[in-house]
Amino acid sequence: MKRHVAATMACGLALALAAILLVGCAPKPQPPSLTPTPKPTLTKKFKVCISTRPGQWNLDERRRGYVETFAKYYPEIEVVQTIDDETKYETGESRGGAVLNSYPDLAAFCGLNAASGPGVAQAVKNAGKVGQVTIVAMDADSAILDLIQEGVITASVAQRQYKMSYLGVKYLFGLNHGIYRVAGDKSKPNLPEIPAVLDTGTVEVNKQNVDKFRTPSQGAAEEMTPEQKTLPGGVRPKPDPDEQYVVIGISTGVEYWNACRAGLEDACVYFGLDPQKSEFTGPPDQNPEKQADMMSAIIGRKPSGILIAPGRAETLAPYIDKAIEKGIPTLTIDTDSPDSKRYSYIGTSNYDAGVTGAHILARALGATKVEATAPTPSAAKGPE
Amino acid sequence: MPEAPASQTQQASTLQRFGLAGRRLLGLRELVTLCILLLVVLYFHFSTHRADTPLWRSDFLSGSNMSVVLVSACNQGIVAVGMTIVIVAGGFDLSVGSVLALAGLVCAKLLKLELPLFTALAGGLTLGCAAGLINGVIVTRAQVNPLIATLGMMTICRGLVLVDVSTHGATTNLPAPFTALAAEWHRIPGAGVVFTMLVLMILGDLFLRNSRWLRQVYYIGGNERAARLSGINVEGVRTATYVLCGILAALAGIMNTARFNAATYEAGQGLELQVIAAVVIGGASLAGGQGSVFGAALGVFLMNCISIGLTLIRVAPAWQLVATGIVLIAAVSLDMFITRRRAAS
Repeated sequence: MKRHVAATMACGLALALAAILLVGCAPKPQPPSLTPTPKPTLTKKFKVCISTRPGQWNLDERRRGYVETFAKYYPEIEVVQTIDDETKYETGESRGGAVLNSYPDLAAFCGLNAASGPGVAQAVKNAGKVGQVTIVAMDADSAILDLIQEGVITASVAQRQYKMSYLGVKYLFGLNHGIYRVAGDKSKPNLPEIPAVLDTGTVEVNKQNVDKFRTPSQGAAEEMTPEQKTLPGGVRPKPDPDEQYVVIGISTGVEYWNACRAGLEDACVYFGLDPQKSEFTGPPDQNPEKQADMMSAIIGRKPSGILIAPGRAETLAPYIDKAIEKGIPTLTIDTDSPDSKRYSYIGTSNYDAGVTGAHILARALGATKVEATAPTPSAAKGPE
Repeated sequence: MPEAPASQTQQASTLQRFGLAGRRLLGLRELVTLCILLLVVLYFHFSTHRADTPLWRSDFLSGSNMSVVLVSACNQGIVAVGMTIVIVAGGFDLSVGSVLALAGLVCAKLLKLELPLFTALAGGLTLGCAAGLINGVIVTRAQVNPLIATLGMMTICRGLVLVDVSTHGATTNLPAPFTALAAEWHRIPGAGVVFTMLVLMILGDLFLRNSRWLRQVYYIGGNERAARLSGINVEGVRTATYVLCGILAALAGIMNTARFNAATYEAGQGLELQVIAAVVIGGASLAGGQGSVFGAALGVFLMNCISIGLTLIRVAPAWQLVATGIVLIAAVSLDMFITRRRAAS
């Protein structure tokens, strides 16, 4: 019996130590019930929870866009908690469910990655709060489109990854055939420049237009004008027999990249490239080191050009520089490595994606918009 | 000497029975995990208690939050039943997460081909069975280390999912009879999945304790040579444990797909380590010969209570990982300390 008493005391001590560590390490505000109830204010009407993968810089930028937009334009909206969904439906479901218990009057969830929306949507369904809790998701994966159709998710912010790869191949092809020059290259003043940074923008997906996104390009191919799809002057030089372009993504297991792949394939078809030679590749998980190894191998093959979505800017920068030094034109897409020698970045301004999402959410909630004193910064837009 | 009255004799034997049961209970290895779970529950209960509500009510111990805990534990809980048996037999299976994803995908694909529900379910379970059989044969016949064998299977299964998803995207919009398997029932969200998990845990524990055939895994895990010399078909039993684990991983995958109405690449990622951790917390030894499904269940619920409790008290996401790791190490260390003291005495 004494051993069991000792065991129980030991358990208690271990837990007490863990509890002290938890409280000490995480100076978060107490749950509402343990602090004096603040006087109700007219401004904080809508409680919102953000579901994301903290520490991933593109998601952190989106979160910043959301939070700063709420602060600047919608004082009625309060972000009460941010949860780590680990980019998995199940984790978003369980932690989203806990938040719904913590805040029974929660007005909305914002999902910042493709898995966030379906995860918190399931939590809302489990709690029987469909129609009571607004959800704004990210991207246009099939599961998100289905949930928008069902009315569980109100809207989503879709990126145009098809355009990233299509335009990327177009610029690389144009560079290789003397149709474009790199931004800042004064040696060929007569040629048009490729943009140093091109924001491909985002589109709101809602119940009215959801079917438009059920194509391989998620509707982006149909949006592009003939001028955007073709080279200046409509020229179409004959490609070299061995001409090939490689797109290196990251976390390529997610459905998001399928539209990017479609952009590469369509560009190959349009410019007469052998689709067997060009390639979409990349590690299936968020593994920048493996991506760097893959890029090393690809540089050794000397492709005609590389489009890369760096998993971590600092890790991939030396490899991008090495490719450029070996004469392989390299652009970044989807995420940037601004300190590298890349010729151009074509992608979404993640901050602006957050801003767009915030405005969509505020409109859905009916939050009052106040005028801001300063414009919201965004990525520079360039000619397509 | 006069005999004691019948009522006194009856009372004494009742007390003896209670005493015996009490000693059996207190002798359980799982007692430590149970104590830790209770302490964790109490901690989160008092941390989330609202001042204007009765003492016995809190956000953590509310019905809706308990259903969140149960639903979130489903994947781990179902897989933990099979993993316990594999670990007790002296092995482990790293492929469970990937088998979960692939089985869910296979089931979804068969449904999309408009095959009957039963056929689709059988297809998914057959895949799990096949994966487990291959694992078992490679480990027992080819004598490959379980780490390598199941790591290889993990990569193959995840790769096959990637091949499909990268071509066709996630498989979604599945027929209503299938998604109804995980639908709400009498206001219990995911009732089908939760009941499946609980039934499997109860049956798994009962069979592992009482089934003569299944108890062989303890002898194999405890002393393989002695088990072989006593006539146990070590290879056969061990292979069977991998098959069972594969089938249960596939079942979890099918339920997961039904719940989210989607078969995705990310399903089950990281599940293997979570389940192994839960099984070990529950008292199993990675060396084999020890463990129970009841203990694994406690481990699963402990980990999920911590995850959800930390979310409720708004610990920053980054610190949640740290806190979870500390509690897990403390729980396992304490258990090992008490076990060694018991063995020494």
